[in-house]
Amino acid sequence: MVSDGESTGPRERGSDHGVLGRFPGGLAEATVVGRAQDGDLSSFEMLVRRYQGPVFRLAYRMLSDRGEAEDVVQDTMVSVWRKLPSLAEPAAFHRWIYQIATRRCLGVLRTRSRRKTDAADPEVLDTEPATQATGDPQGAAQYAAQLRGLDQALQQLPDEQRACWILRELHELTYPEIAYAMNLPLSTVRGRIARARQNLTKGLNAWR
Amino acid sequence: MAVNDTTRLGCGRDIDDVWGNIDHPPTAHEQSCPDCGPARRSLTELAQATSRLHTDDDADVELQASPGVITRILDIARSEVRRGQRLPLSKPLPGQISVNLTVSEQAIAAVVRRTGDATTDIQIRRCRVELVVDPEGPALDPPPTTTPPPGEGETQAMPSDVRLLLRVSVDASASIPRATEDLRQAIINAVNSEVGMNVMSVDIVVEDVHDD
Repeated sequence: MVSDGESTGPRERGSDHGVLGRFPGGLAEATVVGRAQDGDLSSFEMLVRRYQGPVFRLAYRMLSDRGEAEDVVQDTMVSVWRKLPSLAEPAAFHRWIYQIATRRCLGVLRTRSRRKTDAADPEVLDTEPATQATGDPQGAAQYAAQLRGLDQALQQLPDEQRACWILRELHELTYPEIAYAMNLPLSTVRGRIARARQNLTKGLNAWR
Repeated sequence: MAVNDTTRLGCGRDIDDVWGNIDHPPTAHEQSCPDCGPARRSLTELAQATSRLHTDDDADVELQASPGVITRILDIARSEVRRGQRLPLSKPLPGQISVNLTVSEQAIAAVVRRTGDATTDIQIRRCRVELVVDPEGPALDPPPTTTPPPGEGETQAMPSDVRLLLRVSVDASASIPRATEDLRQAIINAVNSEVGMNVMSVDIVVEDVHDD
């Protein structure tokens, strides 16, 4: 068992996700959440540093705009700070923060479509995959093309399908967690994800 | 391609069923089905592209908020900080109504948490501090004669009495009675020496268990 507080350990009982590992000092997430609930700023900062990346990636894949993704991160974290005292179960923090972030993203998208303006010059990041120095330029090019294809197909999905799919495939939330985050019945979540997969395979085929 | 309203393939199976099996060899049905075959191939490619996207995104240092955003978040939180109540460090002296020197509940909680962090068995999550007020009332009317008048030294103020309420998580391999009792003693000593308050009781609620 590694003693480094920052390394990932096996999946814990209850609160933590093995993917994200332990907090500094080997503290469990529920401990850090509890302290932040008491108003401890340094514990809150640990939560911010832990979740800003995942929330940004979620927002960026939902909105395709860096500036808006950063706004979602800020709004989500401030919301977390203000609403923390109302969180009854510290162990529920993971799905709770995803619920806040997902709602924010969907809200931004609803406002966008109401405005009907095209995100003309969204600040799109150069998320070209790093070409691996394998001396296989053709393989690297295919890899890049495949990812571009997926990225494009993802952006074409209806908002709810995209959200459910991203939460499942890129953030490894369980179906019940997604249902909570999206405030949808479990069966609806299954349906959205199945439909998303169907649409994405069509989108990928179109890129051949 | 025609627009389908359903995720069912021509053979009647759902896309989800095919997806569930892509990591395993094709079933007898899938080997011969003209719908499942192509579906398996497309979904396998989707799975591969997805896995790559996941790995790339997680490794991409660009895909996070800039430091300025973090700073702004923490500034906002700091400006809305909940310090909790302030507690008097000592009991009022005879004739005194209030005490000037106070300490925030947060500061006491920090000492308590630090003490808990020094143990290996317990993680303290919540810490509430309550002032224990002398039910006989503050010594506005000092008892006659028995208390010697203040001599050449100062009048020693008595440290405040407090009661602590903790919610903790305990290591699965620890003995709860022993761990909580050790923690209790350590906290009483720490608060006494670092804050200068007298801890009358430490209520510990074990609300969770963790593996180390």
